[in-house]
Order: sequence, then structure tokens, then C-alpha cells
Amino acid sequence: MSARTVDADAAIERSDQLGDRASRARLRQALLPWLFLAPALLLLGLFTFWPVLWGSYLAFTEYNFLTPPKWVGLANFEDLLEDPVFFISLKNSLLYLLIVPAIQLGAIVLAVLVNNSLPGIKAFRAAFYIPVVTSVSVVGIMWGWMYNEQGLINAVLQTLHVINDPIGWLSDDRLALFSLMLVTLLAGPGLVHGAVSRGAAGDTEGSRGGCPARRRHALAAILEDNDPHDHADDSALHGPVDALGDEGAGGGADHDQRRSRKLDVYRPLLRVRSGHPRVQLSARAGREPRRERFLSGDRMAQLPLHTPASPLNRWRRTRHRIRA
Amino acid sequence: MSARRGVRIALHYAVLVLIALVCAFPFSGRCRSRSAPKATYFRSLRRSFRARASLANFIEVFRVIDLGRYFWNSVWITFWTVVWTILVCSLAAYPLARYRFRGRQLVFTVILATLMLPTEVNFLVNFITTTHLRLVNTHLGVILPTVAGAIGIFLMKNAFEEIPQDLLDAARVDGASELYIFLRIMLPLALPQIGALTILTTVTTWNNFLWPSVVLTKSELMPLAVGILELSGTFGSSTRVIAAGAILTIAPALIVFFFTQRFFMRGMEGAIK
Repeated sequence: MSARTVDADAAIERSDQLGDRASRARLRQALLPWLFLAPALLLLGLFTFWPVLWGSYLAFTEYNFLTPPKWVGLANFEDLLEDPVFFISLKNSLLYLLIVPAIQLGAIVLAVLVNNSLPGIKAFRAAFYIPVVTSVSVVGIMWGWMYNEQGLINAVLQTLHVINDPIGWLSDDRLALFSLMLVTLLAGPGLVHGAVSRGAAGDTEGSRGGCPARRRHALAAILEDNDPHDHADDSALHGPVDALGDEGAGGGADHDQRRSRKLDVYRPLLRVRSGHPRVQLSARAGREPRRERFLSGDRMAQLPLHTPASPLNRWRRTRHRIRA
Repeated sequence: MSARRGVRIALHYAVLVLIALVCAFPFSGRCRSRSAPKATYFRSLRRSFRARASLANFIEVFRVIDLGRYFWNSVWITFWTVVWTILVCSLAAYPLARYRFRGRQLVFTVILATLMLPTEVNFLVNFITTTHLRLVNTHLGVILPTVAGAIGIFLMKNAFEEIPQDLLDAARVDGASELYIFLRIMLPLALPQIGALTILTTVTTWNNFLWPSVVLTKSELMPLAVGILELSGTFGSSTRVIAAGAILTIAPALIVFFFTQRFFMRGMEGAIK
């Protein structure tokens, strides 16, 4: 008992001496998240936010890269309204917006067809993903050739005697847009398959996901795939980010059963349920982490610094809210 | 009963084959065209079938144009983009997932907001910025703007949120520094998502066309996607060259994707949580 008291006095003295260091440490603790975030925020700020701001300013100026920008007010916007191409492209964008998602409903059907374990199904999946992983430029060249008046599509159709004269897929005003949409459409199955397979994975957990979950994921995949520009950039991850919402149910039946050997010392902390060596997500999974920064209740008692009696430590205890 | 099931499976396969043919058709057409010795692409289908495939022509293309250079550039750019992306995104995701600090909500919103922007709106100003940083016509100028992606940050954030808080608390009590926790605990436990991020970034960067074509004007620095488009301007009618370049562009991405499908899906499933 006396040894403990001596310990306590020494500890109090030490903790008073460490006062300065403690507050410096606390400052570092407060800054640490920002240190981690620094590179990403720097790059995002420089290459994503600054362009938005500066670009908005440039929209009201006349700028030729050599001389400083000259303020002209709304003149650029007036020019835009007088430009016929602007309205045409606006109309095309709206058409894309309406028609492509409707067509992609068919892509959902296709994705469900592929989401099974028939032999050789992986080859089909790879084939469907070909349009997703091909670069825009290559796709452009390829389809340009195929749509050419002397190109492949016309050749096939003529050989099969479906048509007699070649069709101008890209030169005919009315056809051109739909030809382009077809190219976009072909990337659909790949993306939607990604979404549906993820939704179905949540299903295998026996959670209440099921069809609504699948629909939600597929809906998100369709909604985000409206950008007609660069499909190689469309990542199926927009889907999960939007579709997360209230979908808190755990999924991924075969999600990570391997843990590093080194961490086996922490294994008692992983609560195991029903024999599956996987992490039992607490009710807080996916929500805000707990309020306290460092310490769970019972671990606190093991620390030498916090002794019962001193007023300094009483004050210190008010700085945390410890949950037992 | 089993006959009906057999019919269903056969129908299943039939539909899949049909659609697979349509999807894969541009690819197969190119395979034929690149090897055809003399036939030009715009002949009838029957004739292109008769032309014999020849590997010698494929190799000859490499001797005529420096496709190997483009390929190497693609590999280099992709490699460094992936490395930087994983580093930056996981570093940023760690405090967002497991720390409570003032301004957290604001940072969230700000990063989420970047998802709304199409990448094209930033090209002009990014080009100006890159010029001022003297990064035009360098590989770093191609890589840097694409590194900090909100997609990557959110993927890693979801990965880190799966790791129980108790684990981190125990580690801190045992005296681990935050860097140690990050490197030795969080990153290894998030390996599936890191794998998914790697694959996604690889495919995206490999096919990335617009930004490299803006930044790079020197032909020897260009990646494949930009290089073959430039070729199609110079060698307008030589479809062999273009086709060879196109195959070289598509094949690695497809192969990587085919073999890593499983990890890709698993990592994405984990991201759902």
C-alpha cells in the first residue's frame, strides 16, 4: 500500500511537471488529423477548387493567356446564347439524360443474367466489361471505323441483304445521336453488373436487403452513368457512395477472413459470432465514431498519470468524457 | 423437370453469347485487321476473313513507330499514379474515418462536393496552374492533378470504418504512435479495398486520354491512349498501325481486369459498408 502511495505522489509530481509537455502533446494531437489530411486537401484545393473559383472569374473576362484578363461582364454569356451550337449540344445532353437510363434498365436484366456461377461465366463478364475498360480514344477510333460508310456495320448488313445502300450512321443528322448512344449503352451492362453484384452480396448475408437493395444500387449506377463524356472514367464507385444512405447492413460474406498474424494479440477484441471468424460490427458501424478520443473506461485505470486526488487531475478529468 | 432446366440454361447461354459477341465485336475486328497483310479495313467481311493473320506485320509496326515508347510511358505514369493515389487517399481517409475533430463535417462536405463536378470544367485552369508550376510536358504534370480523388478517399474511409475502434484504442494504450497505427494496423487490414483502389486507378489511368493530351505535346512522353490518336492523324490511312496500337492499349487493361475480377468485386463489396 505504501509503495502505491509513493508511486502516486511521484506520479502527481511528474504529471505536474509534464504540464507543459502535456499541453504541447495535446496541441499535436489536435493538429494530427490535419497533418494526415494535408496532402489530399492541398491537391484537391489546387486542382479542383481553385479551378472552379478562378474559372468562374474568368467567365466574366476576356483572356488570351498572354495579357492579364480583362473584365467584360456578361459579354461571354451573350456570345454563348447567340451560338447555335450551344443550344444543339444542350438539347443533345438532355436527350442523353432521358434516353440512356431508360435503355440501361435492359442492362440490369443483363447484369442479373450474368450474376451466377454457371461454368465459364467469367468469360462473359470479361466480355461485358470490355466496353467499360477501353479508353475513350480507342473506342472512338473503333466505332468510327465501324460506323464508316464503307465500314464494318454497313458491310455486315449488306452481306446479309438487310439493306441495299450503305447507311450514314454518323453523317445522317437524325441517326448520329442514336449511334453514339449505342456506344454508351454498351458500357452499361458492365457498370450495372458491378452494382448488382454488390447488392446481391449484401443479400447473401440474410440481411433485409434483397431486391430493394439491388434496386437501390442499380438505380445509383444508372443515375451516375449519365455523363456522356468519358466512360473510362466512370467508376462504379459513385454507386456505393450515393447508395450508402441508410444501407447499414453488413455484407460481403467472404470479406476478409485473413488478418495479419502480428495482430493476433488483439484478437480478443474482435467479438466473434456464430463461428465465423469475422468482425462483429458494433451497432456503431458506419456511424460517427465514439466521442472519446483515446481511452475506453477500464483501460484508463491502468495509466499511471491519472491519480485520484490532485486538483490538476480533477481538472484534467473534466477534459475528457469517458464512457464506461 | 431437368429438361426444362436444361432449356433454361441453354437459353441463358444463348442470350449471353449474343450480347458478348456485340460487346466484343470491335475488339475482334481489330484483331483481324492488324494482322491482315495487305487488305485494307474497308473491304467486305468475306474478304477480311480470307486474309491470313500474320505476326510479322504486328512486329513490323513496332519497328516503324515507337509504340514501345508509348507503352513504357503508360506503364510509368500508371505506376506512379497508383502509388501516389493510394498514399494520399488512405492518409486522408484515416482521420475522416476514425477521428473526431473540429471541421470534420466541413471537410466531408467539401470532398463530397468535388464528386459533382465533371472533370472537364477544370481543364483550362489546371493547364494554367500546371504551366505556372512548370509541369507542362512532364509526367508529374500528368499525375499530380489526378491523384487526390474523392472516390479513393471514400473507398478508403469505408475500409477504415470497418476496423473496430477498440482495436485502435488498445493500440494507443499500448503506446503506438498514430503513424504506427496507420501503417501497421489500418493499412494491412484494409488490403482488399486498397486492391480495389489499385485496380480501379490502374484501369482509369491507363485509359486516361483527355488530361495527358492537354499537358503533353512532346510525342516521346505520351502514353498509349494519346499516342495512337496522334498516330491516326499522321498515318491516317494505315489502319494496321492504329489497330496494333489499339490492341496494345486494350489488352493489358483487359488482362489485368480479367485476372483480378475477384479481388475487385470483393473490395467493392467491402466498400458498400
